[in-house]
Amino acid sequence: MSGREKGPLTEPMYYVLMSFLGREMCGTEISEFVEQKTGGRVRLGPGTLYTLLAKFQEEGLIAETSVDGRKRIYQITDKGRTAFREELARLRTCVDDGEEAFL
Amino acid sequence: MTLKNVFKLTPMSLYNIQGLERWLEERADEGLFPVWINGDFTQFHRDEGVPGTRFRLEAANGEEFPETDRLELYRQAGWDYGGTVSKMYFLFYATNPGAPELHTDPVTRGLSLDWLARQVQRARRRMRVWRLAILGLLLLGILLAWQVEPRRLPLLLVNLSGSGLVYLLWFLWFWRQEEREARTLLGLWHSLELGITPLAPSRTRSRLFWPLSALTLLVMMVGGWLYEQPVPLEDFSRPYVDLQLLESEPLSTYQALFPQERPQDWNHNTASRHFSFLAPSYYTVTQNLFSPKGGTENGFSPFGGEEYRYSPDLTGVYFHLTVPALARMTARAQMAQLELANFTWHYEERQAPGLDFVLLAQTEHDTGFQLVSVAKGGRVAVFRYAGREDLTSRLDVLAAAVA
Repeated sequence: MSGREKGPLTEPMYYVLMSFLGREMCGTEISEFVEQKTGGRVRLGPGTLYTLLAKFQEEGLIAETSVDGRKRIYQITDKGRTAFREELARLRTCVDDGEEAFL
Repeated sequence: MTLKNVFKLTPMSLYNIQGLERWLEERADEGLFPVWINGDFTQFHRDEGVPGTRFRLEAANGEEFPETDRLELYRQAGWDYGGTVSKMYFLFYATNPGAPELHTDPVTRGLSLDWLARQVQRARRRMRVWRLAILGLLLLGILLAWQVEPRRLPLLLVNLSGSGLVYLLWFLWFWRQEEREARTLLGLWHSLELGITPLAPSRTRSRLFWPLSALTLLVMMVGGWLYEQPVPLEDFSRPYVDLQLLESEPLSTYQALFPQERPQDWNHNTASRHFSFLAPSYYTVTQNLFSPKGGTENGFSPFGGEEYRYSPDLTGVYFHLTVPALARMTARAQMAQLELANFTWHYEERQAPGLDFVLLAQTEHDTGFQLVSVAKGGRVAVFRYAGREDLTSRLDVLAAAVA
């Protein structure tokens, strides 16, 4: 099963998708996860986060599991895991290519 | 007492997202807070704007109201909802300078505009088809109105009156304006998709465009109509050939001959002015004179005989062309325009001293109708005469019209 059709993930896309690997999450938890994971290097604006959640859902990378008051909870799908794995492989190749050229 | 509401013209297209956001921020620095925005006007509340407020427009993507989880997400980040903008955007604002930017990833920002950009692309394609269809229909209408007579077509260049041409230019300019506005949004969208955040376009357009262009068109229509209204010949001061000078017997106007009778339209001697860019002020003079001597029958005729009162008429169209090279083409087209249907006309060209050319046209059978054009430089006069006289022997009189 192939992952995402629309090219490589940007850094915020990558970390948002990563945030679902451990457990289901809502928007604010994702923001906290990304900030913590990147040591504040990557900050997610609410517009970016909302757009990504909508797009990932549209593309079938995540799915809504429940609504808790004003919060929506999402989980990653198999397609989303595949897309993340593919992106990881791509990034590894990029790093390997870079190191090979640099060293 | 100061009014709480302030109305301003929205100075740029709603497709200019960054420009509009910046404009709202500048107004907030003046203490104005937007309560209602559309493509033409924006209503503000005075003294409610907080200096330093940031405004962001988020594509509404066909929704009427943002979802509650979105509002909550934005609110937690310091962004409040400020209303919808022409059903295209949701307006958010942040007064806290520490609030993170709504979008921290240009590519994702581009994704947020997907729906709107595709709508704009679709609308643009649809409008192009409509506008081309309208142009085609207008062209077809003009050709049909001109009876698809190829010889008359060159007159379109001259007779496409100023107002008509202005409408056309306005139509094309307006189209171009809309295309540019759509390109502003689509350009932003494409740049963001590539991960580039472009600078806000400085281009603004005056929203006075609408009221001004509507007013201009109204003035053009009314002014054009007034300008082209026939005026009595006695009130007209431009040079023209006096019909009496072509006639060998003294004639009178209808009004002089029948002062008690109410004149009909056809026996008024009038002049009509027209405007065109190729002949900025050309005019038509229509004259109708009457012999004092009545006929045996109660009636009028331009061709003689004893039974009817002799009443020749002359229609003259006088051009001063901005492009003299168009003189012959204009003369031929105008003669074709003045031809009477149901007759076969024979044309010949002559040379006359002091004139560039003389064109003559007569009907196959001697009907008494004659067409003559005289030209010198950019001046062209085209006549249709109905009467007893032979205009070829009056060329010196006609030539005076283009001297």
